[in-house]
Amino acid sequence: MSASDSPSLIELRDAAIAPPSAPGVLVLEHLNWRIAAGDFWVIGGLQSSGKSLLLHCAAGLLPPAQGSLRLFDQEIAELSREDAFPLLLRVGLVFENDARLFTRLTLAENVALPLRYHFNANDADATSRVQPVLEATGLLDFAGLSAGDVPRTLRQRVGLARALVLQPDVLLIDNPLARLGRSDAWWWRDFLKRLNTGHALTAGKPVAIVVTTDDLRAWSPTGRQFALLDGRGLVCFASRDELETSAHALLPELFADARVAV
Amino acid sequence: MRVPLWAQPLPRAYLDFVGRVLLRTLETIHGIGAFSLITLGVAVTKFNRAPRVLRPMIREQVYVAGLRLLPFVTFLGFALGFVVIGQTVALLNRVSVGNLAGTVMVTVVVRELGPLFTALLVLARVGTANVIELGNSRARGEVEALEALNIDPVHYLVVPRVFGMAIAITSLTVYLIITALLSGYLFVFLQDVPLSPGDYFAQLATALVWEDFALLAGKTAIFGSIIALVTCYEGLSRPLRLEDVAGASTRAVLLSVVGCVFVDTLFIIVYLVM
Repeated sequence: MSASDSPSLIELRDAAIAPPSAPGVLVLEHLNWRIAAGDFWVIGGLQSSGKSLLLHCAAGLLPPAQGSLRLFDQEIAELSREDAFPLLLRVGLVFENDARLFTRLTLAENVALPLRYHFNANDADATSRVQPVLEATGLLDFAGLSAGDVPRTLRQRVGLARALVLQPDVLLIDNPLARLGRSDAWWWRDFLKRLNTGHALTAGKPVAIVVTTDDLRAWSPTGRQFALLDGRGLVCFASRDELETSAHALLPELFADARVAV
Repeated sequence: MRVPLWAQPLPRAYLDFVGRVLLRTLETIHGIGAFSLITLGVAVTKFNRAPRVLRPMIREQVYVAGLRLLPFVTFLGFALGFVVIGQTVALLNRVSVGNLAGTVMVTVVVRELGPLFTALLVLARVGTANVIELGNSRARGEVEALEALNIDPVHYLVVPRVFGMAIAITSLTVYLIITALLSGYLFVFLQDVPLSPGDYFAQLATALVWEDFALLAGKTAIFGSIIALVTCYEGLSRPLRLEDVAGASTRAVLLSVVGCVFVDTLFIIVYLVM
């Protein structure tokens, strides 16, 4: 599914995922999924199909209930916390909707927090690294706003900036186009495409992208690899053509659900 | 023959109730104990981690739980001085045992009332707010967001509160004691008690031993840590819905008071041994 010669960034092997609130209930099972450098994955699924859980598991936030998670070719369960830490820092996760911003901090402080915490950056260092990220994501004018006062349509963009500031190798973004208008949806697709092919923010280094969606129409021109969360498993498609010609039962629903204009 | 009332078994419902309360208490003690050990472990292993993030947060806690309460502590200190110290010294002089004033003051104000009053004040003003703030953070998913950024939530949310409250309560207690002792003498002076300032403060200086300072610092720092740990535990142990807030706050206050009184009792034993 992904470029087989590219190095593997994230790999789930026969994994099963259970939500933290009900550890005995397997929501997803028998997951075999590999994200390689340069991939642009679009994961389609209906509401409550486990899209967020899949991303949380791939980011190392939620250990698989069964099977294994490998980050950058290393089995994460076998590593100590100290050894896993640098690998986890290379994976960026953007949460759904309000992106779980820290409401006591300003927008700029939210974005600078990982830098200040992990690298003990002083004000000048943090500002010099945060400013270009805010500029690229169109958030510079809102930098001083409390995170709670940031317009709803921009909150996930702040989450993206917060993840980008650590220059991750792979970005996992949960349903970024949900409840967005045409221009915001266009911005997301265009920005992620440029990140995927090499953006000035990452010094031209391509970032592997994974987005989840409940509307495949919005992403089918942008994504390169596609998968559907079908029942309790992941069905992967090798290309856009294969997706569009597939007779999978979920596809009519995922293509017809046009909440975001293309 | 009829079985007397005292010998009859308790109705099953009572036993159920007592059993439930006992089990819940043990569960809570277990939870807070484990949470405290985790916090201690994190504080030790990550002592020098992210100082540019943690230090301002500790300073903020000292401000919130300490500096911001100064006006009220001043009022409380004056009240304590007028109500307890002034009257006690006047009474001791009336029964011609004025030379005991220093010992009584040190025992009552320095060892007992000062630390306990301050801890209860901070608990009432800051502790409950702490529960609500952390409960809301948890409900908004900020804890998971910290984990996604590989930031240890205990290190970021709990450790600054523990250090901040420990410093704040220790400092506030010293301030309360000084205010109470000074205002106490003011009351003595206003009542025309034949006790010169020199005699009053000399008695205090004689009654105080170096262990009092060490134990006062230790006791107040432990009070601060208990309040911070219990309120953080109640706030973070589960996402709080609006209807859970009142219960969690009440539980945090109750457990903190019990914890502080328990520690105070242990310190009384130390004082008695001294």
